[in-house]
Amino acid sequence: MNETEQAELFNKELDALLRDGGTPSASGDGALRLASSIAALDFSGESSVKASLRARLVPAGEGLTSLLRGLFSNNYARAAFAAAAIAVALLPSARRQPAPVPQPGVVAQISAPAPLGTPLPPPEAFTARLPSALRGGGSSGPMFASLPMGELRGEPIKAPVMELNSGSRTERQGGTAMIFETGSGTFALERREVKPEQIFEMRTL
Amino acid sequence: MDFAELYDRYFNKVYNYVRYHVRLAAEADDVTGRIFEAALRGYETYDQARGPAQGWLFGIARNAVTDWARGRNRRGEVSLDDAPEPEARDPRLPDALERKEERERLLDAISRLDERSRDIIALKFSSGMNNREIAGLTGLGESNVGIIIFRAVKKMQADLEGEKI
Repeated sequence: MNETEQAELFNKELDALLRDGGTPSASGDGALRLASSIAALDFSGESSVKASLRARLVPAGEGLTSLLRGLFSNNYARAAFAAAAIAVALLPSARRQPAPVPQPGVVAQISAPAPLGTPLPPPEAFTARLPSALRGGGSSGPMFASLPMGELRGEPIKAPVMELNSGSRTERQGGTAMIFETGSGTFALERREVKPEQIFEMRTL
Repeated sequence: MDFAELYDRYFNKVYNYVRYHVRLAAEADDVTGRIFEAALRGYETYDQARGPAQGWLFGIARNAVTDWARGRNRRGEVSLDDAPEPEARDPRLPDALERKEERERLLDAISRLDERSRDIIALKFSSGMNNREIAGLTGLGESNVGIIIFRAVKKMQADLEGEKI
């Protein structure tokens, strides 16, 4: 029997020994008895870090890796995670409401801009125009709040700065004009073609 | 298998593998700690479909032992393989003393093997891997692994019998 055959036979017996955990007879092969002694060696009882190392490493491993592995190993959990991700992505657009179409009566109540020099109303006047739910009773309330446009539809506009008495359209030189007559004055909104030199003064240095 | 299960299943095997190379228990603890730290870092990217965890873990262990040996050589440290082990916890017990002496004799014999044979013997008797798996891990042929194990055990046997004479 050459060395290769001896090695094959030895390894076959060694594998059986390691698998079954038996002890070769004292009269058997000395190499196999030595192998049995080596297989019985166990130093793990001498380790002083086994428990502390586990305590240090395993919580981190469980908290991160096993959680992710457990989550993604299940098809239902994967589908639920995907659905949740889509819901989160679509949430901002779901919160937006379509702007209400203004009704003719509401448009008529919009006041014209105040002429220059008109004193601003006190800050309380702005607050008073907000719905009661947004006014807040004290300093602990939110400073800002979003308000759907539909909520403002029923709010009356108080104290208009001017009232429109009449309006007309007339022809002007080079264009047309809208004449607005109000209680505090007459305003003209002209539409005509102008040249730069009619607006700017040209100077030569 | 989560990391906790991996740790519980393989700690003893990995520690025993390290002890075949690193004789001092404190140093073996240090090297084993580094092995499992590296395993934890790589566990997220480890694909269980590519092979058993055992082979992957012992691949890390082999690298850690190699790094430890290189570091020791670089620092010019004297090998502590021949240093006496700390006293057994209860040296008054004759059985414990006898087991300790027997274990030291075996470790001495293993330490006299060449580096490659010692590594193959350590893998064979600590990891639970068969010759084919060891061959896959080390890059050797399966029959070559078998012959190395056979020769190594025969050499140890001759060494130990020579001691008795």
